[in-house]
Formats: sequence, C-alpha cells, structure tokens
Amino acid sequence: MSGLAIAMTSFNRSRAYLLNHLVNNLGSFIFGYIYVSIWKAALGDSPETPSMVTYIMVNQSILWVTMFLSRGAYLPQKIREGTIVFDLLRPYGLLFCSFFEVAGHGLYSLIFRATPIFLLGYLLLGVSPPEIGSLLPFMLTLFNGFLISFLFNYFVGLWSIKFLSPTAAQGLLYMTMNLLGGAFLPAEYYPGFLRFLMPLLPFACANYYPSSVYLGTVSLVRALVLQCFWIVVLFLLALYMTEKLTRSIQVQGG
Amino acid sequence: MRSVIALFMASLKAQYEYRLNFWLDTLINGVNLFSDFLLMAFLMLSFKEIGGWSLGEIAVIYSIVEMGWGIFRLFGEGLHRFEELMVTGRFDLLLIRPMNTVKQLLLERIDFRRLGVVIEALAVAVFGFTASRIDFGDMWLAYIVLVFFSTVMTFEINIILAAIAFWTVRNSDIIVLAFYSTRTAAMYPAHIYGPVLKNVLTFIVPLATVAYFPVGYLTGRITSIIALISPVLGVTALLPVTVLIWKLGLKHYASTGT
Amino acid sequence: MKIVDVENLQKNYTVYQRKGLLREKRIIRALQNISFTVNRGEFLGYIGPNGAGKSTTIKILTGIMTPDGGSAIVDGMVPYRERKRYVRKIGVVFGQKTQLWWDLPVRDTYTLLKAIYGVPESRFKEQINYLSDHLELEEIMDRPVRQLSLGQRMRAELAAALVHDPELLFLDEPTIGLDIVSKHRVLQFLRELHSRGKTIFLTTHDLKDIEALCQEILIINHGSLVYKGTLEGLKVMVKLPRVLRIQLREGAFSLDGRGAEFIERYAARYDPKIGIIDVELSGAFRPANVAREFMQVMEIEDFRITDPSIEDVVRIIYRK
Repeated sequence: MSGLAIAMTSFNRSRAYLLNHLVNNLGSFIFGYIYVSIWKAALGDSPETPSMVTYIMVNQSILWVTMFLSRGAYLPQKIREGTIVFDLLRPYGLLFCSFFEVAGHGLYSLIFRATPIFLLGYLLLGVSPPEIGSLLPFMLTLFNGFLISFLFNYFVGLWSIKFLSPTAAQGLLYMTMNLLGGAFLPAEYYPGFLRFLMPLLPFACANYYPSSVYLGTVSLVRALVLQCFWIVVLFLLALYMTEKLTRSIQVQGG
Repeated sequence: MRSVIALFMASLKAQYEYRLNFWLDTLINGVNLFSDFLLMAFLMLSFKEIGGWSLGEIAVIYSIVEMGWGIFRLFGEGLHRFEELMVTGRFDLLLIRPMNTVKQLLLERIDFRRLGVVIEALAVAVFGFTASRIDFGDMWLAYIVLVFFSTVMTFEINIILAAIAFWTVRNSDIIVLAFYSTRTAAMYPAHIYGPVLKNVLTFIVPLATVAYFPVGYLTGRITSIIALISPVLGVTALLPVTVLIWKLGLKHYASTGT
Repeated sequence: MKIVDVENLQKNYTVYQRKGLLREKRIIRALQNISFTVNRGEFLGYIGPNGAGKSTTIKILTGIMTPDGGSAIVDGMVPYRERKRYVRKIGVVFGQKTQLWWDLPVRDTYTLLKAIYGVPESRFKEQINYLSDHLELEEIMDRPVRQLSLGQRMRAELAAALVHDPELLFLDEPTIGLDIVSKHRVLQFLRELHSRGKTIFLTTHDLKDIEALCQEILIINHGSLVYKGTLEGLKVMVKLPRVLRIQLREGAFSLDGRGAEFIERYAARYDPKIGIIDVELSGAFRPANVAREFMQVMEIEDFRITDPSIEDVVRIIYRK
C-alpha cells in the first residue's frame, strides 16, 4: 500500500466518528473560552488582549493537529491487537507506514476539528482572522508542528514496543507538551531562564511558533530555522531507533 | 462495610503486584495535572491577580475541585466506565445481585493509581495556604469540609452522567462536553466568565458552589452569606435530581434492555 | 410443586430503523402470551432459534426486565417487582458475560460475593470447598481472572453463581465455546447439582447437552411456546422416521435391475458415487422385511439403523 493509500484509509476511518468529534469540538471551544477568560481577567483592557485571545484560540484549534494526534502513533494499539507484525513486515518500514497513517488523521483533524473550532472562536470570541501575508507562513509552520508532534508520538509508540505499557511515556509527553508547548502561555511570559530556553526546545515548535507566526510576533525565518532543526534531529533519531528496534525484534522473533 | 474492605484489600494486592508500573502511573497521574497549575503560576508571576484573586486563593479552589475529582476517580472508576457495562451488557450481572446498583459500581474497582491526583491536589492546597498567608488552623478545617462537599458533588454529577447511558448506551462524549470543561472552569474564579458559563457553574453543574463561592466568602471577596452555605445548597439540591435520574434510567433499562 | 408459574407473558420491543431520511418505528413482539410452569427440582432445557425470545424470557424470570403483560411468579415472588429480595434465591450464569472481577484472583471474587450476599463464614467455607472439589478450582483459585482460559473461567463463573447456594439456577449458554473436557466437567457438575434437588433452567444451542441432562424441554419460536414436555414426547410428536443406512461393498456400487427396483419401492436415497443408500423406516416398512430384501439384492459392506437425532427433530419444529 502506498503512503497516500494508507493516509486515505486513516482519514476515512476517522470520519466514522465525525458526530462524536463535532460534539467534542464544542468541548474544545469551551476550554478555549476558559483560557481566554483567564487571560482577559489578567490583562484587563490592555491593547494586548485581542491578540492574546487570538493566540489562545488558534492554539486550541490546532491542538488536534499538534498535540492530541494519536496515542503513540497507533503503535500501542497495534501491539495489543497483534497487528504490529504486518507493519514490521511491510517493505517500507514502520516509520513510513506510521507517518502516513497519522498524517491521514492529521488531515482529518485539520478539516473537521481545527477549522470548526477556529470558526467558533472567530464568530463568538472575536478572534482576528489571519492577515493575507501570514496565512501561508502559518500553514507552513503548522505542518512543521504536526511533523514534530508526529515524531514525538512515534517515540511513545516505540517505547511501548519495548516496554509494553505506553502510559508512562504518553503521560510524560502530554505533560511536557503542555508545560513547554506554549498553548496557554507564550514564551514571553515564562519566568527567568525558561524564557530563553523554552523557545529553543522542540515542544515550542508545536504550538508557540505556529500561533506566533499567525500573529506576526515571531518572524517566519526564526520559526522555520528552529522547527527544521528539530525535525531533522528527531527524524534522524527516529530512523536510528526504528532500525535498532526492528533488528532486535527480528532477532528475538517478535 | 465488609464488601468495601474486601475490595480494598484485594485491589491493593492486585495493583501492587505491578510495582514499577503502579508507581509510574501514579506519578504520571499527579504530575500531568500539576503542569496545568504550574502554567497558571507562571502567568501570575507577571500578573499579580486574576479577576482580583491571588494565586494562593486560586490554588485553594483549584485544589478543592481537583480533590473531589481525584477521590472520585479513586473509588468511582465503575461509574466512570459505565458506558462499557452498557455496551457489553455486563450491567445485567449487577442486577442479579441483592445490592443497590450504584453501591456495586463503587465496588467494581479501587484504582490506587489515582492517588497521584489526590497527592498533587493536596500539594497545591499546601502551596495555596502558604502563599496567601491564610490562617492555617481555621482554613484547613474549612478545606476538609469543602473537599467533602466537592467529592459528594462530583459523585452526584457523574452518577447523572452515567445514567445517560441507560438511554443512549454511549455517553463518553457527553461526559467530556458537560463535565470535563465545567470541572476545569470551576478551578478558576467564576466571575471571570460570561453570564452563561457562570450560571452553568452555579445552577446546572454547580461546582462553583463547593469551591468558588465558599472560598470567596472566607477570603472576604464575596459578601453574601449564601456563598458560605452554597455547598450545602448545591449538594442537597442535586441529590434528589441524581436519585430521580438514576431511578428513571433503571426503569427505562428494565423495560427496554439494550 | 410449582416453582415457576408463567402466565400470558408478553413483551414488545420498539425498534427504530432508518429508511432513507426518516426513522421508521417497528414493534417486535418478542413474547406473545407465553404460559408454562416448572416444578421444583426439575431440570428444564430451554431451546429456540436466535431471536425466538429465550433471552427475553430469562431476563424477565431473573428480574432484569419487566414484561408488558401477563405475569411471572417464581418461588412465590414477582421477580421484576422485588428484585433485590428476589435475586437472593437465584444463581445466574450468562455464557458470554462474566461477573468475576477481572483483575483480581478468583478467590477474591468469592470473598466479595460472600460479603454482598451476607453468607456466614462457616457456610461459606463449606460451600467453597464443595465447589472447589467438584469444579476442580484448586489450580485457579489464586490466579487473576484475566489469565484464565475460557474453560477455567466458566467453571469459576459457575461457582460464583453458587456462593450463596441458591435453589434455582438460570444458565444461559454456559457451555458455549468450551472444549470437550471443560464441557464434560460442567455438565457433570450440573447433574450433581440436580441430584441435590436444585431446579435448573438451562438455555443452550447444544442439543446433546439437553438430551443428556434435561427431563423437560421448552421450545420457543417467534415469541410463542411451541412445545413443552419430555424429549421422548417430542420425538413422538414430530414422528421423524428412523433411517436405515446401507453401505455397499467396494466395487459393487452400481446396482442391477433388482437393486434399482428396491430403491424405487422404498423411495430410498441412493448415492452411486460413495455407495450409500438411505431408507426411511416409516410405519409401513418393517425393518426386518427391508433387511431381508436388501441383503438378497445387493452386496453390502455394512448397515445400521439410526434414530432421528434431536437436531433433526428440533429443526422440524423451528421450521413451523
């Protein structure tokens, strides 16, 4: 199965839950509303308020593409069900297959999760629409954010191949993404040393950079440099670990 | 009751067997929610107050709501996973036993890993009290009482949400929509929200009555005496609703099966 | 002495089906005026095709479901009206759902049930020993339920239904999916329970089990009671003939004129490829005469006479 076919299958599979997801979108919106309220209460009548509202809601929308992407790139589930063997035996390898599978779901989330939530934010909370010049840069950084999130999810998946239970790694990932991803707090508000460290870490590439590029508070060049750097690093790491793991499984016999 | 002790010992033994996984999961449970609070703390380094409330005060209501949630997940896993019993039809087996079905749901499992949430909530409370320099003695008593009400209310709300499955079989989406979001909202001072959410938190999913209002009164921010007794009002008002909906649900189930 | 008294039981289900854009409401009459009684100490087999109304009957008799009409009285009580008091008297096993606590050792389920039913310590110990002996539970007592094989789980399940030593048992497909050895153990135990005076209501698709264990059988189809009585009575009622099967000797599969005439006269089924002839021995054809004849006109390897199987009999009933 070529990569595109895998992605389409994944896309359609997600579509079966459309109704549930639309209900869920309301929940996501409410969460966004809570965070927006907190910021409004903090900032008061400051000129910064509208852009913070936009920042929060853009992040809430893209969370489904950059954070709640999949549990361990679907690997823990496959291990439980035993279907992991098929992926390991395929000629293109685990990383390739997993990527397209997650990408299909990511596309689905972009269309049926991110966009509706964003629209709700636009209609009900006064989120500023993107400036024409920022739209393409934003989509680019969003795609990069997706890539990084996929790679992290993939690492969790690999962990579960080795250690069977993904809960610990999954929890750790969520916590780190939550704390350092910038969905609620942009880098400027982190205290002391973290203010400089946070934007350099890969986690910030998922939420902080895309939203900041959308708003225009961070230059596209800076965002791309950081994102691409981490994508390359994480990708090479993923390749290496996949190779090692696949080999060890072949030796053990699964 | 003997059955509770029997379950307690059995669950403890069973879960403790997987020691490493157990401690790891417990830790993860707690640490996850802590990251939310940490972000809040960072924010408040820049802004001393949110809607007039200090970080310490927010920490207290945050902790009260979270404690209710943690204790609920500790004992209420059966209720939390009620949908599963409906889908598989296993609920019938609870009806076969001479015991109230809700009681039996509480006996399904004790999930000790949720202690992580409880410990984390406690840590946030300790922080809150020290940071806001509230008089320790009295406040701790009030805190324990409010945690009690928060727990009871969390149970009540989740019994109602579980009962929805009697009609719809699957209820997880409603739970996420109706409860997860309101629970999070209740962890912050309610007056920062618009009238819709504020009213929902006061009258429909009345979590504001067990944290925001009473704590607001005790710190002097809310002057109406009703705020102080609102937890009692909230919990007692919700009780007949809970009993009614559960009973109606059972009746519907007895008449239509799955 | 009656322990179950069912009169004119009715139950309807409302089903909504999607027809194009609209939802169509359909009423399924699951039980249409079912009446029967069961005596104390009886071993009753309850059979019927899927969707016939078996589960519905069981659910009403165990108090889980309320009927739309008619009445059911079990051991002096109306099951669905006094559920909590009533269920103390019964033990239930659902073949496809388990009441055992999944993560805990088997032993702990029994301890929990002891607390729920309020079984006194001494009786509990006695009962567990009894159950453990007869169902060979020793080996699995301390294993978590999720590690058990299906056969082991079913034995544990049966024991769980008996912790409080009820007089009346409802077993819904207890042997489904079991291997031969486990099934044998379970059936043996059911026989033992029956000999101790328990009343057992067994629902199953395995008709051999029914044949082996049940005195009375109840057949339900399309929501109505089709038959209640003994197995023998059923065979008489359906009047399926015994079948004489002749195996022709290798090399002598083709028949001459006399052989062909035999086939025609007895309206026998003849397969020349494998050399088998089946003759239905209805009243008119006496076995002795038929035997004398075929031995003269053909070269036979073997022959035998079979009684109609319960499956054949029941299949006829289901078709009505």
